[in-house]
Amino acid sequence: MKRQIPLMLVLTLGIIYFFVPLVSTPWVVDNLQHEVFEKWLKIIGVFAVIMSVASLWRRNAVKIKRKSGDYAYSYLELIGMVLMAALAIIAPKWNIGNGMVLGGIAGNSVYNWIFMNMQVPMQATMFSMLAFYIASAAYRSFRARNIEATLLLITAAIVMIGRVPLGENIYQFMLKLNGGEAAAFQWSRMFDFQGITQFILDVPNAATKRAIGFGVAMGMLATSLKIIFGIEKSWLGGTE
Amino acid sequence: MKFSWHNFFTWLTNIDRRWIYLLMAIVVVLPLFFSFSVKVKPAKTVNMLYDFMENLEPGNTILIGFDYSPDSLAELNPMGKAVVYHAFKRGIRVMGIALAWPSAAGLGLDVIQSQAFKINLEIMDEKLKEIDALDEIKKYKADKELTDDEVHFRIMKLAVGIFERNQDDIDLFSDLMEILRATGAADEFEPFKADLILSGVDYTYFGYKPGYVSIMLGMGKDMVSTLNTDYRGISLMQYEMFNSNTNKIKNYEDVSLVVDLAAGGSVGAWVVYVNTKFGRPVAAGVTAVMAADYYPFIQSGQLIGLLNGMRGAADYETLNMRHFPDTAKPGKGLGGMASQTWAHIMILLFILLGNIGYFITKKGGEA
Repeated sequence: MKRQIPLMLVLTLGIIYFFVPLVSTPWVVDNLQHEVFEKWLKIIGVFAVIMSVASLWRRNAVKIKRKSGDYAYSYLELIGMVLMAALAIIAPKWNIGNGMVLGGIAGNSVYNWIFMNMQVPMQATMFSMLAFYIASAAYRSFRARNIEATLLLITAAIVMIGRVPLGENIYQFMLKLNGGEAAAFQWSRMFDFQGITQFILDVPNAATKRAIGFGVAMGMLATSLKIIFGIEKSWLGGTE
Repeated sequence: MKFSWHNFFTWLTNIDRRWIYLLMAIVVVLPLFFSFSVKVKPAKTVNMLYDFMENLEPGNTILIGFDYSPDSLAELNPMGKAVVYHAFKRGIRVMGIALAWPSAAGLGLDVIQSQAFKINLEIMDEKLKEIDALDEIKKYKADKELTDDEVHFRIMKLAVGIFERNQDDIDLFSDLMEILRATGAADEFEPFKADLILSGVDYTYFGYKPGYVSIMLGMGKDMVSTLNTDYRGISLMQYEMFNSNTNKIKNYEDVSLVVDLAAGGSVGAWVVYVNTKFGRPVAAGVTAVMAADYYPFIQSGQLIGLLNGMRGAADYETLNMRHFPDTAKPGKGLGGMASQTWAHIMILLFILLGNIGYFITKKGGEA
C-alpha cells in the first residue's frame, strides 16, 4: 500500500494535469487550476518551510550537543535564524533613532539593515570569488589542444572583447583607418566585435540552445510519462 | 642559469595561482577608485526593451520579478534601478514581487524605493532648498549634526509620509515634522502630491510570496485575492492602485509588461505561465553567465527584450541618460564597465600567455 497509493495519486493527477492546460473551460480553470493546484501548491510550500526550519534546527542542535566539527558555526546559524525571525515577526516597531525602527521588515528596520549590511556583502563576496577562479582556470586550462578547443577559444575571445566597451573602441579606430562608413571596401567590419558577438549570440548560440532545449523537453516528457505510468519508480525510494 | 623561452614559460605556467588572484584583484578594484568615462553602444535587445517602455502610456503598469539573491546583485540591481527609474520618469506604475528567492525581498525593496526617493528628491529640489534656508531648520540640522542631504531626505520622507498616510514614517521624524508645521512649510507640500512617487499609488512592492508557480497563475485571475498584502502586511485593497474606480489593477490584463530580473530559471516560468498562458509581454534581465540561454526566446518573440549582465545595465543607463540628460546619472552598471573591461583584457592575456607557454613547453618536450 505504501507504494501503491503514491503511484495511484501520480497516475490520476498526472493524467488530469496533463490535459488541464489544453482545456480552458471556466470550470476546469476555476476548480482544477485555481482551487486545487494553486492552493495545494501553497499548502505544500508552507509544510516544506516548516520541515526545512525543523530540519535546520535539529541538525545544528545535534551538532552543538555532540560538540562535533565546527559546532561554533551552528550557534551562529541558530542565533541568526532566531534573531532575524524575532526582529521581523515579534519585535515592536519602536523608533530607535536615526530614522530606524526596531521591528518589522520595512526599509528602515533593523531586520533590513542587518540584511543589507551583513548578508548582502557576505553573499556578494562569495560570488565574486568566481572572478579569481575564472582567471586562474583561463590561464591553466584554456588551451588550443584541438580544433574544437581552438574554435571555443576564438569564440570566447571575440565575445569577451565584444561585451565590453573596448570592442566598440577598436572597431571605431579601425573604421577611421578604413576611411569611415563611406569606404567602398569595409575591411574594418572584421573588427566589429560587438556586431560579431551579437551574431554569435543570435545565430549559432540560439540554434544550439534551441536544439538542446528540444532535447531536454523531450527527455522531460519521456521521464514524466514513465513516472505517470509507473515505469520509473526510483522517486519512491527504497530498493524494491 | 642561461635564459631560454622554454624555461621561462615552464616557470610561468607553474606560477603560484595566488599571483594571478592578486593581479585580478588589482585590475578589478583599481578602476573603481578612478572615474573612467566609459561609453557603451546599447545592444539590440536592450533597445528593444527600452523602446517597448517608451511606447507605454503614463498610467500603464509594469510588474518586476526580483528573482535573484544577494550574490548576483552586482549585475541585477543596477538593471532594476535603471528600469524602475525609466518607468517612474515616464509616469508608469511599478509593481515588484520576489517569487524565487526569499532573500530577494530586501533587494527588490531597495531597488524600487531608492528610485522613488531619488525622483522625489529631484521633484522637490527647489522647495527643499527653500525650506533649508529657514532658521529653525538650520538649528535642527546643527543640533542633530546632519548634512544637507540628510535633512532633505527626511523632509522628503515626511512629505511622502503625509500623502501616503504613513504615520510610522511621520513619527520617525516627529520633531522635524513639528518644525515644518510650525513654520508653515508642511502646508506647501500639497502642490507636489500629484508628482511625487507614492507607495500604493505609483508603486507597490509585494515582497517575497511563497508559492512560485501558484502565485504566477493566481495573479492571472485576481492579484488582490492571491497576494492579499504588500511587503509590510498592509492589505492591497487600501491602495489606490487596487481600489481605484478608474485605473485599478485586477490581473495580468492590467499589466503592460513583466520584467523578470533573474539569476536562476525563473524567466522560463514567467514565459510559460505569463507570456504563453496569459499573453502578456515578458522581458528579462539576467546574469551574463546565463544570458546565452535566452536568445532563442527573443527570436520567438516570447521575450520582448533582454538585459545581459552588467553590460545590459550599463546599456540601459546610457539610454536613460540620453532620454533624461538633466537628471539621469551613470549608475553602477556604467561604473562597473571599466573594471569589467580590464578584467576581460586580463583574462585574454592570461589565455594568450597560457597558450604560448603550452606550445613552447610542448615543443620543448617533444624535442
